[in-house]
Amino acid sequence: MLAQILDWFTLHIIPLVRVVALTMLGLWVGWFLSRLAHRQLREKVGAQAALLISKSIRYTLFVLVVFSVLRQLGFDLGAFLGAAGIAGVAIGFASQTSLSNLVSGIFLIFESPFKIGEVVEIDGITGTVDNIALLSTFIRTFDNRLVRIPNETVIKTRVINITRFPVRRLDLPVGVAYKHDAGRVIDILKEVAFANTLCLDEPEPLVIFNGFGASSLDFTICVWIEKTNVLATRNALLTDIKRRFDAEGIELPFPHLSLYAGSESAPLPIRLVADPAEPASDVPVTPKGTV
Amino acid sequence: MSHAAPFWRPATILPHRCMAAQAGLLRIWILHTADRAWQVCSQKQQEPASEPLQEADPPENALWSRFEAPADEAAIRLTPALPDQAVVIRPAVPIEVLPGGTAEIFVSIPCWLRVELSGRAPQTLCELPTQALSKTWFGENTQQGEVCYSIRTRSRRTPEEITDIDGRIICPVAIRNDSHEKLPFSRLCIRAPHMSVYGQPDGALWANQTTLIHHAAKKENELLFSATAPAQAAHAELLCKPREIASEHTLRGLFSFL
Repeated sequence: MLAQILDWFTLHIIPLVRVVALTMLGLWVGWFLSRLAHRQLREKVGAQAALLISKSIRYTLFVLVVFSVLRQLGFDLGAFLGAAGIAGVAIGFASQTSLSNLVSGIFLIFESPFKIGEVVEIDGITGTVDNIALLSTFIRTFDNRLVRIPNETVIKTRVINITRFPVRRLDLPVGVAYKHDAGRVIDILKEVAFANTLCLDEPEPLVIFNGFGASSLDFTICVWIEKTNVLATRNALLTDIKRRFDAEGIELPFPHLSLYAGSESAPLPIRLVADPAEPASDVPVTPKGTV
Repeated sequence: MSHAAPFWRPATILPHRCMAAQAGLLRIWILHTADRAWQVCSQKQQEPASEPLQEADPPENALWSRFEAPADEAAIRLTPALPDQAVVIRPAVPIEVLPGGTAEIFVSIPCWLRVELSGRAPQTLCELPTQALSKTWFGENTQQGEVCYSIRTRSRRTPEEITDIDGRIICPVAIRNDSHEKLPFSRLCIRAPHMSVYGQPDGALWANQTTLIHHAAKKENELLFSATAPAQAAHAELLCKPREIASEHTLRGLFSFL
Protein backbone atom coordinates (compact mmCIF):
# COMPACT_ATOMS: atom_id res chain seq x y z
CA MET A 1 0.00 0.00 0.00
CA LEU A 2 2.76 2.42 1.02
CA ALA A 3 4.69 1.52 -2.10
CA GLN A 4 1.63 2.32 -4.21
CA ILE A 5 1.22 5.69 -2.52
CA LEU A 6 4.91 6.46 -3.06
CA ASP A 7 4.65 5.45 -6.68
CA TRP A 8 1.58 7.61 -7.19
CA PHE A 9 3.26 10.47 -5.39
CA THR A 10 6.39 10.11 -7.50
CA LEU A 11 4.36 9.83 -10.65
CA HIS A 12 1.97 12.75 -10.15
CA ILE A 13 2.81 15.08 -7.29
CA ILE A 14 6.55 15.53 -7.83
CA PRO A 15 6.16 16.51 -11.51
CA LEU A 16 3.32 18.80 -10.55
CA VAL A 17 5.43 20.50 -7.88
CA ARG A 18 8.29 20.74 -10.36
CA VAL A 19 6.01 22.36 -12.94
CA VAL A 20 4.61 24.84 -10.43
CA ALA A 21 8.09 25.71 -9.15
CA LEU A 22 9.41 26.07 -12.68
CA THR A 23 6.52 28.33 -13.65
CA MET A 24 6.82 30.56 -10.61
CA LEU A 25 10.60 30.78 -10.79
CA GLY A 26 10.58 31.42 -14.54
CA LEU A 27 7.95 34.15 -14.31
CA TRP A 28 9.74 35.80 -11.41
CA VAL A 29 13.11 35.72 -13.24
CA GLY A 30 11.43 37.21 -16.32
CA TRP A 31 9.81 39.96 -14.27
CA PHE A 32 13.06 40.68 -12.41
CA LEU A 33 15.27 40.77 -15.51
CA SER A 34 12.84 42.97 -17.45
CA ARG A 35 12.61 45.43 -14.53
CA LEU A 36 16.39 45.45 -14.20
CA ALA A 37 16.87 46.03 -17.93
CA HIS A 38 14.28 48.82 -17.97
CA ARG A 39 15.91 50.57 -15.04
CA GLN A 40 19.46 50.22 -16.34
CA LEU A 41 18.74 51.12 -19.96
CA ARG A 42 16.20 53.94 -19.51
CA GLU A 43 18.87 56.63 -19.27
CA LYS A 44 21.11 55.14 -21.96
CA VAL A 45 18.74 54.25 -24.79
CA GLY A 46 15.58 56.19 -23.87
CA ALA A 47 12.31 55.23 -22.23
CA GLN A 48 10.69 53.72 -25.32
CA ALA A 49 13.64 51.53 -26.29
CA ALA A 50 14.12 50.45 -22.66
CA LEU A 51 10.45 49.49 -22.47
CA LEU A 52 10.71 47.52 -25.71
CA ILE A 53 13.82 45.65 -24.54
CA SER A 54 12.36 44.87 -21.12
CA LYS A 55 9.11 43.58 -22.66
CA SER A 56 11.08 41.49 -25.14
CA ILE A 57 13.02 39.91 -22.27
CA ARG A 58 9.83 39.23 -20.33
CA TYR A 59 7.94 37.66 -23.24
CA THR A 60 10.95 35.59 -24.39
CA LEU A 61 11.37 34.14 -20.93
CA PHE A 62 7.61 33.59 -20.74
CA VAL A 63 7.71 31.56 -23.96
CA LEU A 64 10.69 29.55 -22.65
CA VAL A 65 8.82 28.85 -19.42
CA VAL A 66 5.78 27.68 -21.38
CA PHE A 67 7.93 25.33 -23.48
CA SER A 68 9.65 23.97 -20.38
CA VAL A 69 6.34 23.38 -18.65
CA LEU A 70 4.90 21.63 -21.70
CA ARG A 71 7.97 19.42 -21.83
CA GLN A 72 7.63 18.62 -18.14
CA LEU A 73 4.03 17.65 -18.76
CA GLY A 74 5.14 15.24 -21.47
CA PHE A 75 4.12 17.08 -24.63
CA ASP A 76 6.08 16.44 -27.83
CA LEU A 77 7.58 19.84 -28.60
CA GLY A 78 8.93 18.77 -31.98
CA ALA A 79 5.47 18.34 -33.43
CA PHE A 80 4.30 21.48 -31.65
CA LEU A 81 7.14 23.58 -33.04
CA GLY A 82 6.56 22.19 -36.51
CA ALA A 83 2.91 23.15 -36.34
CA ALA A 84 3.88 26.55 -34.93
CA GLY A 85 6.30 27.06 -37.84
CA ILE A 86 3.62 26.34 -40.44
CA ALA A 87 1.18 28.57 -38.57
CA GLY A 88 3.86 31.26 -38.38
CA VAL A 89 4.35 31.26 -42.15
CA ALA A 90 0.59 31.46 -42.68
CA ILE A 91 0.18 34.24 -40.15
CA GLY A 92 3.18 36.06 -41.64
CA PHE A 93 1.64 36.10 -45.11
CA ALA A 94 -1.68 37.19 -43.68
CA SER A 95 -0.23 40.04 -41.64
CA GLN A 96 2.45 41.55 -43.84
CA THR A 97 1.27 45.11 -43.14
CA SER A 98 1.30 44.58 -39.39
CA LEU A 99 4.76 43.03 -39.51
CA SER A 100 6.02 45.91 -41.62
CA ASN A 101 4.64 48.34 -39.08
CA LEU A 102 6.16 46.30 -36.26
CA VAL A 103 9.63 46.31 -37.79
CA SER A 104 9.27 50.01 -38.61
CA GLY A 105 8.26 50.64 -34.99
CA ILE A 106 11.40 48.90 -33.73
CA PHE A 107 13.57 50.96 -36.09
CA LEU A 108 11.71 54.10 -35.02
CA ILE A 109 12.27 53.45 -31.33
CA PHE A 110 15.99 52.88 -31.72
CA GLU A 111 16.56 55.61 -34.32
CA SER A 112 14.60 58.02 -32.10
CA PRO A 113 13.88 60.89 -34.54
CA PHE A 114 11.41 62.21 -31.96
CA LYS A 115 10.36 61.57 -28.38
CA ILE A 116 7.06 61.61 -26.55
CA GLY A 117 6.08 65.23 -25.87
CA GLU A 118 7.98 66.75 -28.79
CA VAL A 119 6.17 68.69 -31.50
CA VAL A 120 6.56 67.12 -34.93
CA GLU A 121 5.19 67.32 -38.44
CA ILE A 122 4.61 63.90 -39.99
CA ASP A 123 2.94 63.40 -43.33
CA GLY A 124 1.52 66.92 -43.20
CA ILE A 125 0.13 66.52 -39.69
CA THR A 126 1.52 68.76 -36.96
CA GLY A 127 1.11 68.00 -33.26
CA THR A 128 2.62 66.65 -30.08
CA VAL A 129 3.84 63.06 -29.99
CA ASP A 130 1.44 61.30 -27.64
CA ASN A 131 2.71 57.73 -27.87
CA ILE A 132 5.13 55.64 -29.91
CA ALA A 133 3.72 52.12 -30.03
CA LEU A 134 5.12 49.14 -31.92
CA LEU A 135 2.59 49.36 -34.73
CA SER A 136 1.76 53.05 -34.87
CA THR A 137 2.63 56.52 -33.63
CA PHE A 138 -0.04 58.71 -32.07
CA ILE A 139 0.01 62.47 -32.64
CA ARG A 140 -2.17 64.85 -30.63
CA THR A 141 -2.94 67.81 -32.87
CA PHE A 142 -3.24 71.35 -31.52
CA ASP A 143 -7.03 71.22 -31.89
CA ASN A 144 -6.97 68.16 -29.59
CA ARG A 145 -7.53 65.36 -32.07
CA LEU A 146 -5.63 62.11 -31.81
CA VAL A 147 -4.12 60.95 -35.09
CA ARG A 148 -2.82 57.42 -35.51
CA ILE A 149 -0.06 57.12 -38.10
CA PRO A 150 1.22 53.62 -39.03
CA ASN A 151 4.91 53.31 -38.28
CA GLU A 152 5.60 52.21 -41.85
CA THR A 153 4.29 55.60 -43.00
CA VAL A 154 6.45 57.39 -40.44
CA ILE A 155 9.55 55.58 -41.67
CA LYS A 156 8.76 56.30 -45.33
CA THR A 157 7.64 59.92 -45.06
CA ARG A 158 9.45 63.14 -44.18
CA VAL A 159 9.46 63.88 -40.44
CA ILE A 160 10.15 67.38 -39.09
CA ASN A 161 10.99 67.61 -35.39
CA ILE A 162 10.01 71.16 -34.50
CA THR A 163 11.03 71.24 -30.85
CA ARG A 164 14.20 69.14 -30.75
CA PHE A 165 16.43 72.14 -29.98
CA PRO A 166 15.79 74.69 -27.19
CA VAL A 167 15.64 77.63 -29.60
CA ARG A 168 14.29 78.02 -33.10
CA ARG A 169 13.91 80.72 -35.72
CA LEU A 170 10.60 82.34 -36.51
CA ASP A 171 10.26 83.91 -39.97
CA LEU A 172 7.52 86.46 -40.62
CA PRO A 173 6.88 87.98 -44.07
CA VAL A 174 6.21 91.73 -44.14
CA GLY A 175 5.31 93.85 -47.16
CA VAL A 176 5.33 97.67 -47.38
CA ALA A 177 4.25 100.10 -50.07
CA TYR A 178 6.68 100.93 -52.88
CA LYS A 179 6.94 104.58 -51.91
CA HIS A 180 8.93 103.82 -48.71
CA ASP A 181 12.70 103.64 -48.31
CA ALA A 182 13.77 99.99 -47.97
CA GLY A 183 16.71 100.82 -45.70
CA ARG A 184 14.48 102.69 -43.27
CA VAL A 185 12.04 99.76 -43.19
CA ILE A 186 14.87 97.35 -42.39
CA ASP A 187 16.06 99.58 -39.53
CA ILE A 188 12.55 99.84 -38.08
CA LEU A 189 11.97 96.08 -38.25
CA LYS A 190 15.29 95.47 -36.46
CA GLU A 191 14.42 97.99 -33.76
CA VAL A 192 11.04 96.33 -33.22
CA ALA A 193 12.67 92.90 -32.90
CA PHE A 194 15.33 94.12 -30.46
CA ALA A 195 12.69 95.85 -28.32
CA ASN A 196 10.57 92.71 -27.99
CA THR A 197 11.68 90.72 -24.94
CA LEU A 198 10.43 87.45 -26.45
CA CYS A 199 13.01 87.73 -29.25
CA LEU A 200 16.47 86.56 -28.28
CA ASP A 201 19.26 89.12 -28.52
CA GLU A 202 21.54 86.45 -29.95
CA PRO A 203 21.49 85.07 -32.55
CA GLU A 204 20.63 88.56 -33.69
CA PRO A 205 17.34 89.32 -35.46
CA LEU A 206 17.74 89.35 -39.21
CA VAL A 207 15.76 91.29 -41.81
CA ILE A 208 15.91 90.12 -45.43
CA PHE A 209 14.77 92.26 -48.36
CA ASN A 210 13.28 89.57 -50.57
CA GLY A 211 12.56 91.74 -53.58
CA PHE A 212 9.92 93.67 -55.49
CA GLY A 213 6.57 91.96 -55.12
CA ALA A 214 3.41 92.44 -57.15
CA SER A 215 2.00 94.95 -54.70
CA SER A 216 4.73 95.61 -52.18
CA LEU A 217 8.38 95.63 -51.23
CA ASP A 218 8.72 92.22 -49.62
CA PHE A 219 10.76 91.64 -46.45
CA THR A 220 11.19 88.72 -44.06
CA ILE A 221 11.96 89.35 -40.41
CA CYS A 222 13.75 86.39 -38.81
CA VAL A 223 13.97 86.23 -35.02
CA TRP A 224 15.30 83.52 -32.72
CA ILE A 225 12.97 82.50 -29.91
CA GLU A 226 12.56 79.88 -27.23
CA LYS A 227 10.76 76.89 -28.69
CA THR A 228 7.74 77.32 -26.40
CA ASN A 229 7.12 80.95 -27.39
CA VAL A 230 6.13 80.60 -31.04
CA LEU A 231 2.54 81.81 -30.90
CA ALA A 232 3.20 84.47 -28.25
CA THR A 233 6.10 85.89 -30.28
CA ARG A 234 4.17 85.83 -33.54
CA ASN A 235 1.29 87.77 -31.97
CA ALA A 236 3.51 90.22 -30.11
CA LEU A 237 5.85 90.90 -33.00
CA LEU A 238 3.13 91.40 -35.61
CA THR A 239 1.30 93.72 -33.21
CA ASP A 240 4.49 95.69 -32.55
CA ILE A 241 5.24 95.97 -36.27
CA LYS A 242 1.74 97.24 -37.06
CA ARG A 243 1.87 99.82 -34.26
CA ARG A 244 5.33 101.02 -35.26
CA PHE A 245 4.44 101.22 -38.95
CA ASP A 246 1.31 103.21 -38.09
CA ALA A 247 3.40 105.57 -35.97
CA GLU A 248 6.00 105.97 -38.73
CA GLY A 249 3.39 106.40 -41.47
CA ILE A 250 4.48 103.28 -43.30
CA GLU A 251 1.75 101.74 -45.39
CA LEU A 252 0.99 98.03 -45.39
CA PRO A 253 -0.46 97.70 -48.91
CA PHE A 254 -3.37 95.58 -50.00
CA PRO A 255 -2.88 93.68 -53.24
CA HIS A 256 -3.78 96.13 -56.02
CA LEU A 257 -3.80 96.36 -59.80
CA SER A 258 -2.77 99.36 -61.95
CA LEU A 259 -3.93 99.70 -65.54
CA TYR A 260 -1.72 101.72 -67.89
CA ALA A 261 -2.90 102.78 -71.28
CA GLY A 262 0.74 103.23 -72.35
CA SER A 263 2.76 106.40 -72.93
CA GLU A 264 1.70 106.68 -76.55
CA SER A 265 -1.98 106.26 -75.95
CA ALA A 266 -4.46 108.77 -74.74
CA PRO A 267 -5.76 108.75 -71.19
CA LEU A 268 -8.61 106.38 -70.50
CA PRO A 269 -11.90 108.23 -70.71
CA ILE A 270 -14.13 107.96 -67.69
CA ARG A 271 -17.73 109.07 -67.72
CA LEU A 272 -18.74 110.78 -64.47
CA VAL A 273 -22.42 110.76 -63.70
CA ALA A 274 -22.97 113.62 -61.23
CA ASP A 275 -26.71 113.95 -61.36
CA PRO A 276 -29.20 111.90 -63.32
CA ALA A 277 -31.01 115.14 -64.20
CA GLU A 278 -27.89 116.74 -65.80
CA PRO A 279 -26.34 115.52 -69.07
CA ALA A 280 -23.23 113.32 -68.67
CA SER A 281 -19.83 114.56 -69.87
CA ASP A 282 -16.59 112.80 -70.86
CA VAL A 283 -13.69 113.83 -68.59
CA PRO A 284 -10.06 112.87 -69.32
CA VAL A 285 -8.22 111.36 -66.34
CA THR A 286 -4.70 112.43 -65.41
CA PRO A 287 -1.98 111.52 -64.90
CA LYS A 288 -1.47 108.92 -67.61
CA GLY A 289 -4.96 107.60 -67.37
CA THR A 290 -4.42 105.54 -64.22
CA VAL A 291 -7.70 104.22 -62.90
CA MET B 1 27.68 105.01 -5.55
CA SER B 2 24.48 106.48 -4.14
CA HIS B 3 22.62 105.13 -1.15
CA ALA B 4 19.21 103.50 -1.01
CA ALA B 5 16.83 102.51 1.75
CA PRO B 6 16.90 98.78 2.49
CA PHE B 7 13.54 97.34 1.43
CA TRP B 8 14.14 93.87 2.81
CA ARG B 9 13.42 94.59 6.49
CA PRO B 10 10.44 92.51 7.71
CA ALA B 11 7.21 94.38 8.40
CA THR B 12 4.06 93.36 10.23
CA ILE B 13 0.88 93.72 8.24
CA LEU B 14 -2.24 93.35 10.35
CA PRO B 15 -5.42 91.87 8.85
CA HIS B 16 -7.30 94.24 6.50
CA ARG B 17 -4.22 96.45 6.10
CA CYS B 18 -2.12 97.09 3.01
CA MET B 19 1.55 97.97 2.62
CA ALA B 20 3.65 98.91 -0.40
CA ALA B 21 7.34 98.91 -1.20
CA GLN B 22 9.48 99.62 -4.23
CA ALA B 23 12.64 98.00 -5.52
CA GLY B 24 14.05 99.35 -8.74
CA LEU B 25 11.24 99.84 -11.23
CA LEU B 26 8.82 97.53 -9.47
CA ARG B 27 6.29 98.75 -6.92
CA ILE B 28 4.57 96.02 -4.97
CA TRP B 29 1.44 96.08 -2.77
CA ILE B 30 0.72 93.42 -0.17
CA LEU B 31 -2.77 93.18 1.30
CA HIS B 32 -3.50 91.06 4.37
CA THR B 33 -7.16 90.40 3.65
CA ALA B 34 -7.93 88.15 6.62
CA ASP B 35 -6.34 85.58 8.83
CA ARG B 36 -3.92 83.54 6.69
CA ALA B 37 -5.17 85.17 3.47
CA TRP B 38 -2.90 87.46 1.43
CA GLN B 39 -3.09 89.33 -1.85
CA VAL B 40 -0.15 90.68 -3.86
CA CYS B 41 -0.06 92.97 -6.88
CA SER B 42 2.67 94.94 -8.63
CA GLN B 43 3.09 97.72 -11.16
CA LYS B 44 6.01 98.93 -13.21
CA GLN B 45 7.13 102.47 -12.36
CA GLN B 46 8.84 105.08 -14.50
CA GLU B 47 11.64 105.94 -12.07
CA PRO B 48 13.67 103.44 -10.02
CA ALA B 49 13.55 103.72 -6.23
CA SER B 50 14.22 101.73 -3.10
CA GLU B 51 11.54 102.07 -0.44
CA PRO B 52 10.79 99.74 2.48
CA LEU B 53 7.30 98.45 3.26
CA GLN B 54 4.98 101.27 4.36
CA GLU B 55 1.26 101.67 4.87
CA ALA B 56 -0.41 102.44 1.53
CA ASP B 57 -3.77 102.35 -0.18
CA PRO B 58 -4.24 99.44 -2.54
CA PRO B 59 -4.19 100.52 -6.20
CA GLU B 60 -7.35 100.58 -8.25
CA ASN B 61 -7.87 98.14 -11.13
CA ALA B 62 -4.91 96.05 -10.06
CA LEU B 63 -4.57 92.39 -10.92
CA TRP B 64 -4.20 90.68 -7.55
CA SER B 65 -2.76 87.25 -6.83
CA ARG B 66 -4.29 85.50 -3.83
CA PHE B 67 -2.55 83.21 -1.38
CA GLU B 68 -3.79 81.12 1.55
CA ALA B 69 -1.07 80.61 4.15
CA PRO B 70 -1.04 77.52 6.39
CA ALA B 71 -0.28 79.48 9.57
CA ASP B 72 -1.44 82.82 10.92
CA GLU B 73 1.63 84.98 10.27
CA ALA B 74 1.59 88.74 10.01
CA ALA B 75 5.28 89.43 9.24
CA ILE B 76 6.21 89.90 5.60
CA ARG B 77 9.66 90.21 4.14
CA LEU B 78 10.78 91.14 0.63
CA THR B 79 13.92 89.16 -0.06
CA PRO B 80 16.11 90.23 -2.98
CA ALA B 81 17.25 87.32 -5.11
CA LEU B 82 19.33 86.94 -8.24
CA PRO B 83 17.61 85.91 -11.49
CA ASP B 84 16.57 82.30 -11.94
CA GLN B 85 18.72 81.88 -15.07
CA ALA B 86 22.25 82.84 -15.98
CA VAL B 87 22.77 86.42 -17.12
CA VAL B 88 24.87 87.35 -20.14
CA ILE B 89 26.54 90.71 -19.85
CA ARG B 90 27.69 92.40 -23.05
CA PRO B 91 30.23 95.11 -22.24
CA ALA B 92 29.92 98.19 -24.43
CA VAL B 93 33.56 97.76 -25.40
CA PRO B 94 35.12 94.28 -25.80
CA ILE B 95 37.80 93.55 -23.21
CA GLU B 96 41.11 91.76 -23.69
CA VAL B 97 43.03 90.35 -20.75
CA LEU B 98 46.76 90.04 -21.33
CA PRO B 99 48.64 86.88 -20.26
CA GLY B 100 49.04 86.82 -16.48
CA GLY B 101 46.61 89.71 -16.07
CA THR B 102 43.36 89.95 -14.18
CA ALA B 103 40.38 92.09 -15.15
CA GLU B 104 38.17 93.11 -12.24
CA ILE B 105 34.78 94.41 -13.26
CA PHE B 106 31.54 95.22 -11.49
CA VAL B 107 28.19 94.66 -13.15
CA SER B 108 24.76 95.37 -11.72
CA ILE B 109 21.86 93.00 -12.29
CA PRO B 110 18.17 93.80 -11.57
CA CYS B 111 17.02 91.74 -8.61
CA TRP B 112 14.02 89.45 -8.23
CA LEU B 113 11.68 90.15 -5.30
CA ARG B 114 10.68 87.17 -3.21
CA VAL B 115 7.60 87.87 -1.06
CA GLU B 116 7.98 85.75 2.05
CA LEU B 117 6.04 85.13 5.22
CA SER B 118 8.86 85.51 7.71
CA GLY B 119 7.77 83.23 10.51
CA ARG B 120 9.64 80.35 12.07
CA ALA B 121 9.57 78.55 8.74
CA PRO B 122 9.59 81.26 6.03
CA GLN B 123 7.31 80.54 3.13
CA THR B 124 7.41 82.19 -0.28
CA LEU B 125 4.16 83.65 -1.55
CA CYS B 126 5.50 84.66 -4.95
CA GLU B 127 8.57 85.94 -6.76
CA LEU B 128 8.63 88.86 -9.18
CA PRO B 129 11.40 90.37 -11.36
CA THR B 130 11.91 94.07 -10.76
CA GLN B 131 12.64 94.50 -14.45
CA ALA B 132 11.67 92.44 -17.48
CA LEU B 133 14.91 91.29 -19.06
CA SER B 134 15.30 90.20 -22.65
CA LYS B 135 16.84 86.82 -23.30
CA THR B 136 19.70 85.53 -25.36
CA TRP B 137 21.27 82.26 -26.43
CA PHE B 138 24.67 81.44 -24.94
CA GLY B 139 26.40 78.56 -26.64
CA GLU B 140 28.79 77.44 -29.32
CA ASN B 141 25.95 76.83 -31.78
CA THR B 142 22.15 76.81 -31.80
CA GLN B 143 22.02 73.16 -30.74
CA GLN B 144 24.24 73.28 -27.65
CA GLY B 145 23.99 76.01 -25.06
CA GLU B 146 21.37 77.59 -22.87
CA VAL B 147 18.89 80.45 -22.80
CA CYS B 148 20.07 83.26 -20.52
CA TYR B 149 18.91 86.72 -19.59
CA SER B 150 20.68 89.47 -21.46
CA ILE B 151 21.92 92.82 -20.22
CA ARG B 152 23.71 95.42 -22.32
CA THR B 153 25.69 97.55 -19.94
CA ARG B 154 28.97 99.20 -19.32
CA SER B 155 31.09 97.06 -17.05
CA ARG B 156 32.62 99.25 -14.33
CA ARG B 157 36.09 98.98 -12.90
CA THR B 158 35.11 100.31 -9.46
CA PRO B 159 31.82 99.99 -7.58
CA GLU B 160 31.75 103.77 -7.09
CA GLU B 161 31.09 104.16 -10.81
CA ILE B 162 27.79 102.33 -10.49
CA THR B 163 25.09 104.92 -9.96
CA ASP B 164 21.84 103.01 -10.42
CA ILE B 165 21.78 100.68 -7.43
CA ASP B 166 18.03 100.83 -6.67
CA GLY B 167 16.79 97.26 -6.93
CA ARG B 168 20.03 96.10 -8.51
CA ILE B 169 22.64 93.67 -7.24
CA ILE B 170 26.30 94.47 -7.77
CA CYS B 171 28.30 91.45 -8.92
CA PRO B 172 32.10 91.65 -8.62
CA VAL B 173 33.74 89.50 -11.30
CA ALA B 174 37.46 88.83 -11.71
CA ILE B 175 38.75 87.32 -14.96
CA ARG B 176 42.23 85.89 -14.61
CA ASN B 177 44.20 84.87 -17.66
CA ASP B 178 46.70 82.16 -16.70
CA SER B 179 47.48 81.30 -20.31
CA HIS B 180 50.25 82.65 -22.55
CA GLU B 181 47.87 84.25 -25.01
CA LYS B 182 45.53 87.22 -24.94
CA LEU B 183 42.04 86.46 -23.70
CA PRO B 184 39.47 88.48 -25.64
CA PHE B 185 35.83 88.37 -24.66
CA SER B 186 32.80 90.35 -25.69
CA ARG B 187 30.23 88.49 -23.60
CA LEU B 188 30.34 87.36 -20.02
CA CYS B 189 28.00 84.74 -18.61
CA ILE B 190 27.27 85.26 -14.92
CA ARG B 191 25.98 82.12 -13.24
CA ALA B 192 23.37 84.00 -11.19
CA PRO B 193 21.49 80.93 -9.81
CA HIS B 194 24.71 79.80 -8.11
CA MET B 195 25.33 83.08 -6.30
CA SER B 196 24.23 84.55 -2.97
CA VAL B 197 22.88 88.03 -2.22
CA TYR B 198 24.19 90.21 0.60
CA GLY B 199 22.69 93.46 1.87
CA GLN B 200 24.39 96.45 3.42
CA PRO B 201 22.76 98.84 5.90
CA ASP B 202 22.98 101.63 3.32
CA GLY B 203 20.70 99.62 1.00
CA ALA B 204 23.34 98.36 -1.42
CA LEU B 205 22.97 94.77 -2.59
CA TRP B 206 26.01 92.63 -3.40
CA ALA B 207 26.62 89.17 -4.82
CA ASN B 208 29.55 87.04 -3.80
CA GLN B 209 32.79 87.38 -5.73
CA THR B 210 33.07 85.31 -8.92
CA THR B 211 36.48 84.47 -10.35
CA LEU B 212 36.93 83.07 -13.83
CA ILE B 213 40.32 81.48 -14.49
CA HIS B 214 41.38 80.79 -18.05
CA HIS B 215 43.94 78.01 -18.58
CA ALA B 216 44.80 77.63 -22.24
CA ALA B 217 47.30 74.84 -21.69
CA LYS B 218 44.80 72.51 -20.05
CA LYS B 219 42.00 73.70 -22.35
CA GLU B 220 39.80 73.85 -19.31
CA ASN B 221 38.56 76.89 -17.47
CA GLU B 222 37.59 77.31 -13.86
CA LEU B 223 34.78 79.22 -12.24
CA LEU B 224 35.09 79.93 -8.54
CA PHE B 225 32.53 81.46 -6.18
CA SER B 226 33.61 82.89 -2.85
CA ALA B 227 31.60 81.63 0.10
CA THR B 228 31.39 85.03 1.80
CA ALA B 229 30.42 88.60 1.02
CA PRO B 230 32.87 90.48 -1.23
CA ALA B 231 35.58 92.62 0.33
CA GLN B 232 33.75 95.80 -0.69
CA ALA B 233 30.81 94.76 1.51
CA ALA B 234 32.54 92.89 4.30
CA HIS B 235 29.88 93.67 6.92
CA ALA B 236 26.89 92.91 4.73
CA GLU B 237 24.34 90.36 5.92
CA LEU B 238 23.39 87.29 3.91
CA LEU B 239 19.91 87.84 2.49
CA CYS B 240 19.49 85.06 -0.03
CA LYS B 241 21.31 81.79 -0.54
CA PRO B 242 22.09 80.44 -4.03
CA ARG B 243 19.15 78.92 -5.88
CA GLU B 244 21.29 76.00 -7.08
CA ILE B 245 24.43 74.35 -5.86
CA ALA B 246 26.96 74.37 -8.69
CA SER B 247 28.31 70.99 -9.68
CA GLU B 248 31.84 70.48 -10.92
CA HIS B 249 30.52 69.65 -14.38
CA THR B 250 28.38 72.78 -14.55
CA LEU B 251 31.20 75.06 -13.53
CA ARG B 252 33.70 73.73 -16.00
CA GLY B 253 31.37 73.03 -18.88
CA LEU B 254 29.63 76.38 -19.07
CA PHE B 255 32.61 78.60 -18.61
CA SER B 256 34.17 77.07 -21.68
CA PHE B 257 31.72 79.10 -23.78
CA LEU B 258 33.30 82.34 -22.70
